[in-house]
Amino acid sequence: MIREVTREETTIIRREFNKWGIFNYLNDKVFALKECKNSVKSIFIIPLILKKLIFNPYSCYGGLQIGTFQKKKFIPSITFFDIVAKYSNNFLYIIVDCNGEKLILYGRDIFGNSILYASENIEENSIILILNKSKELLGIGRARFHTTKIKENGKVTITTLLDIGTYLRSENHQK
Amino acid sequence: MCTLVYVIVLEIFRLFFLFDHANHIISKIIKVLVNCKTSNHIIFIKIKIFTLLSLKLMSCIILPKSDYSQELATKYNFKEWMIARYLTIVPNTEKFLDYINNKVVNQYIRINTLKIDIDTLKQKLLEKDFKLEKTLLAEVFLIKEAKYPIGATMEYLSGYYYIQDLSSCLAVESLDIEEDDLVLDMASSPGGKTSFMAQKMNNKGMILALESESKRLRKMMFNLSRCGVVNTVLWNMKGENIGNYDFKFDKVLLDAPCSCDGIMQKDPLRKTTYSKESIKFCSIRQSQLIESALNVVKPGGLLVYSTCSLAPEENEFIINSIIDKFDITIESIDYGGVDSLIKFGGKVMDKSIKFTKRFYPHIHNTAGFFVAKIRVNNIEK
Repeated sequence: MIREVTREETTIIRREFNKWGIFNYLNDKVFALKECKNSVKSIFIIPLILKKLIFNPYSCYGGLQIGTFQKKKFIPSITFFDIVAKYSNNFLYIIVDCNGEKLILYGRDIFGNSILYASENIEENSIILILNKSKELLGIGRARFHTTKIKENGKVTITTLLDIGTYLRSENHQK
Repeated sequence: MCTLVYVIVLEIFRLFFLFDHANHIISKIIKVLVNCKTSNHIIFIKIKIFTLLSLKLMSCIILPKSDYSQELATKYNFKEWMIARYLTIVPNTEKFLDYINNKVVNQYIRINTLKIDIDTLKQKLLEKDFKLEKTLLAEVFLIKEAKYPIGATMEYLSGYYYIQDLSSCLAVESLDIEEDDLVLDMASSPGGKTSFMAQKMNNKGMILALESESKRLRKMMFNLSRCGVVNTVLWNMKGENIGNYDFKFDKVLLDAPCSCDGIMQKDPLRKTTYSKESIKFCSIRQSQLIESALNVVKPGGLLVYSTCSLAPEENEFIINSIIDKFDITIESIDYGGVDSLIKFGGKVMDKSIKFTKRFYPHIHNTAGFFVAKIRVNNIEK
């Protein structure tokens, strides 16, 4: 069952959009929330025009799924960060080489020697976007070190949290 | 009183429906029902009986066997009744059977222009040593050579392309979709055609996608999300029930669930699982689906009906069965294929059926496919 989001939920999601510099993306769009069996709530962002179709007992998906609500906390999805990568300038990122790109698609963490570029202000535990040489989003990671040490040879310097291959791997695992 | 009569009459016919009466008797009853003049409140009952009897007429046509069909059945390890049918349905039957036995599978990709432009992706894939060949459609390419599995590249995962047969793309192309249309996809999973429609609409307008099987939803959601589709809402509902809602659509795509013998080269197991019962079962469902679809198309709107089956019972017969019941025009399709059958197993169909198209694996390098483009002039006669 998909329902409209409450005022409180809206505020929490909007705050996340604001934090990542994509508040303007919300123009002419509304949020919808799907209550799942495991008490996880999926959040969708949909164009206003789809409102008459989404709030229906049979409805199970619409627009873009931008994340989930777990214990009153909004957890953004890879789709959310895809919007960030496209529409914002306000994010920390690293650029990895071809070897790093392949490893990320297998869900592996990133070695310092695969990193070609890193934003200047990365701190330990910063959430960063992982991009390839063409600045396309590959995944999301958590920095283990400050910018100055992030390219260190032979050490895992970024823990991969989410990547664009996550879904396919989970499908193969289920089979 | 009226309801009671309705229930009794329906129950009598349901019982009748269970027995295996001769089809010609049923045909005669249908003719009588069509011609008799009745008052308005009986018309509803008449339509219900008509539908039940029409369904009874659906069956798999068995053609006479011959020495040649027996020879081919032994040579290619097919059931003989299938070969006897293919000899009538498929041109160059032996070449077709060779093609299936050799498991020749052409892989096509559709470039998702919602996320990337055609030239940029072509360049990226060329850099990865992919060899691509142009097709009838500008955004669809045949993969001639690929060094990596095409479903595991960064470009695939980013939604830059979708692995989709050319014939499926032609079904969407036939819908003549415009940006602001309200579109219905009646059997949508895994979402290839839905995402192509969204691409054609530039993520504007609205698409309502229906999928009745819950287990297929997850993949559909992944594909829509991967391809950046924004203008679509997915309902977990049977297509037959769409008439319960007060929606009328500009365009409807019914890629009907079918017996799938058109994709036997991809899945050789279908050679053994394919049965007369599956043809009958599918044709009954398809008949119900197409009637539901026609009831929700706006006057002047379009319905595209397609299957990946080669059985006339699931294709030409279905279209023929709606010609008399609805005010529709069968329009021609301009994207290749061969004219469909206008007679099969002694049954002669309406001349306009020839405007529908068939695609054969060994002739068109696609899956075996059937497409019909149906313009709705007015709803039920």
